[in-house]
Amino acid sequence: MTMQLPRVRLPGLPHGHPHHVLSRVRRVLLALAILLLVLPAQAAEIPNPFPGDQVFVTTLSNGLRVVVREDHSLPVLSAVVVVRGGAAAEGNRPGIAHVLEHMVLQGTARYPKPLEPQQVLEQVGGMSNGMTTRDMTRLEVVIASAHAELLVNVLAEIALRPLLGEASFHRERPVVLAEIQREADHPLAYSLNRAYLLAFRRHPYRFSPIGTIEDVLGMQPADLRGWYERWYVPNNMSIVFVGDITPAGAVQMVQTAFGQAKARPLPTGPSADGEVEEAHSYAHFQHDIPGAYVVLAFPAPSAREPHAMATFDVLTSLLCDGPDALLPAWWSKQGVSVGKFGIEFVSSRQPGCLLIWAHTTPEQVGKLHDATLTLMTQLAVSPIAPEQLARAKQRLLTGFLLDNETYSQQAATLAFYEGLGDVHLAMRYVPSVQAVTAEDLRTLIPTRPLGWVTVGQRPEALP
Amino acid sequence: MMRALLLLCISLCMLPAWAGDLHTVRLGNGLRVVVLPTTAAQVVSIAMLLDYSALDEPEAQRGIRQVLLNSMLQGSSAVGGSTIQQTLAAVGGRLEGRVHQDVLELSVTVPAQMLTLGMAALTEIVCRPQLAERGFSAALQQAHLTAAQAPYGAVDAALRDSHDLLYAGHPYATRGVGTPDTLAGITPAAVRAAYGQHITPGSSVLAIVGRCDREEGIRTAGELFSTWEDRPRAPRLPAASPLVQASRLALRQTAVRSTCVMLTFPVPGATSDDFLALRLVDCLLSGGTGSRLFRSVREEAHLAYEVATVFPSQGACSHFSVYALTHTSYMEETKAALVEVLAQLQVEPVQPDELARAKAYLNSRYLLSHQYSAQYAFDLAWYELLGLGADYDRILPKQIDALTAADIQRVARTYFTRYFLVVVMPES
Repeated sequence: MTMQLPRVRLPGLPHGHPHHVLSRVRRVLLALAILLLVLPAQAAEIPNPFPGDQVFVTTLSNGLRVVVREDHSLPVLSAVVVVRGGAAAEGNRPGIAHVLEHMVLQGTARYPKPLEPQQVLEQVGGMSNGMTTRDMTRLEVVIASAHAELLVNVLAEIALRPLLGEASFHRERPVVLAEIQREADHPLAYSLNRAYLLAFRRHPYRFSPIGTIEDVLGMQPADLRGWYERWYVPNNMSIVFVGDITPAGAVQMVQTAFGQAKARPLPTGPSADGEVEEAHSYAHFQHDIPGAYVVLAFPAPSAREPHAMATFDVLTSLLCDGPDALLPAWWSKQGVSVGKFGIEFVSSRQPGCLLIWAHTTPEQVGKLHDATLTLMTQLAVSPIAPEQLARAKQRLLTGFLLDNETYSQQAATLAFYEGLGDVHLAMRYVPSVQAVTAEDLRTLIPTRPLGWVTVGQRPEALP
Repeated sequence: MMRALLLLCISLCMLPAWAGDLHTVRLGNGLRVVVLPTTAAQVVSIAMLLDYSALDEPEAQRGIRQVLLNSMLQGSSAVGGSTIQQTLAAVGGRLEGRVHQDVLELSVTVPAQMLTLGMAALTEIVCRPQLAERGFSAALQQAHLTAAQAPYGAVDAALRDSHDLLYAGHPYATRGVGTPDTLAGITPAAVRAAYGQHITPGSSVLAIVGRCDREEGIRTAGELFSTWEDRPRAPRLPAASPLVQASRLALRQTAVRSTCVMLTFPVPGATSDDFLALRLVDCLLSGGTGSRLFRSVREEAHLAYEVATVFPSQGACSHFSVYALTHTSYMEETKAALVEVLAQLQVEPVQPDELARAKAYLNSRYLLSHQYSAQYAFDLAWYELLGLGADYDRILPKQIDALTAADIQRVARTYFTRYFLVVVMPES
């Protein structure tokens, strides 16, 4: 159906003569007032994209959790299957979860041809994607809601009945190797991976979720099948829906498609307790780029401490975001010239790390390192000003709202927190951030790095 | 055949039914305002497209649009410095300024209740830029940095080389960023003149998409933008579309790990009758894992991990690139495989199932991209500026469904003839 839309001239605004006869000065003042004065009133009203009463959660008898955010604004449905097993699930097999994420799409009992499950969805305009992190594996699909049943059936095939055949494995392995090579080509991704490797001495968070070329070359199909049997079990999975579906409809479809899968005991994952060493070690990695990336890794809390996790998110906003971001201002004050910079803090199931990174010249590396540590130490001594804290929270919460604009984004967020252990963390995120105080920041800010790395040109002099 | 008909019905069902009524209003000063209220998220995006094209840049001033855009973001006559960006950034709102081949884009995305704030920020930037000497230096420096940005990876490098070859001598040549030489010749006076000659309400479109009230959107736009005085816009400079007289090869060895093999064909711009058929070809070739390139070059021949197409929506003319990221030793085979896939399109009509799949994919990709209010606002303003009308958005799915296998074959025969072959490979 299409419709011809009328083109209209705004009544009362004839050409060249504004309806409201305001002088230019008054208009400028009005704009300024809006920009600068109305702001605080608006700021307090950022809505929570995940109000608790709008997210339905239930658990089937086999342990599979179903999460539904019902919204009929669009004829679209986004769904994510999350497996609470990622690259860190089995410490001695980094990369296996990622290869498995590729392999489950390479044919199932009902759709045996390579990539047929994805192609069945594409036939009706569906888009799908897989993602492996240190803590979880996610299979994401977005499709017209008229195909909800097909979507659930295909997801059940992928999650419960993948063929994991030997021929598919040998065919898909070069694809994974090419992906690893591409990541290694990216200097920032390479730098962050090196920092993780140095920050965690034994814990499997040290490995990149994508795996290494050596890991993947050493894998066999039997390794994948074993890993799959241990982690892809209903009591270790959740399915999240956002969009044009009712909770009752979703549960019924999931029960039909996933209900026959049996729960099984889960292996015990690695523990990070006592594994983090505050060694403050350093390593340099030569890379053919101008200048050098500097990455400082600090210890960070786990999802078991939601308030501390929210405090760290506020900290990242304070340090890096907005016009009053502390890090660039401080570096500039200390005479350190920095190009690109940022913070990586991904909430994790076990204690993780916060990475501060910046691109600079080899001569400035030592100065940048010292200046960063000085700032962190100062923040641990002097509480942040209330207005500055309020602005950081405001930015963070607006960002959270804007980053959850689409059904796909919302489903990914809910699945992420579900993968960390509990989707309710998403619903509680806004109040958690609002509750962060200056004192929380002062006491929780990390001052001693786990380690730091430089990637690129070798620094000339180091502290 | 039944299956194909079913798929056609499915794609028709995927019209963007969630969107409210689309309204296009022309203010007294000529500014077109498009408002589309949606209900999915508590977010609103406002996109302002300024009809200042690379075609308007004199050859010696390529990149002046970039300098102008940067200068406009250096403060207005009422709100100095970077206060506007800072105010938005302070609340987490997003302000984007982009130079496209055909337009300058300024867009703001904010929580729904900040619609007025977002619109006021755009008013200051667009209608009252200070364009002062002090801001000019920073704007020029940013433009130099943008122009100096090195390509990242083999695909990016191949795209750059293809672009340089195809558009040599054309205003699109410098990708809107200019060169160090042309930027060096740009003065503050030239930037002010460019603003006066090209940035006018009559040649601009403001699109508002998201959680907003239609009346409020139109009223606020009217109140804030109606004092922006209209004036005649400078006439556009003529430019001939690029032609490839004979297929050519360009080879580059650089610091990359994979080899990119890329074929680039000149094709018409977004208002051409053939544009949509080419867009469908784009989906047939690289739309998802069931597409031809993916199946034949990657899954069957195992020649490449990444195989795709690049087909930008440009006003005057465009290009269609087909590429594969492969190992150097497979370079020849990969090129042959890409050429074979394109040749097949010319000689064999596409089967109904495959055609229906491509249509469903194209319609779906379009629908899903409109979950992002910023993308939706840009698209509506872009259609309006092209002269297709913002309501083209709603006609598009029907037009896609009307395309036939013969259309595919015709455009493949017309445009996939002479090409530039660019190979970017590792040094060793």
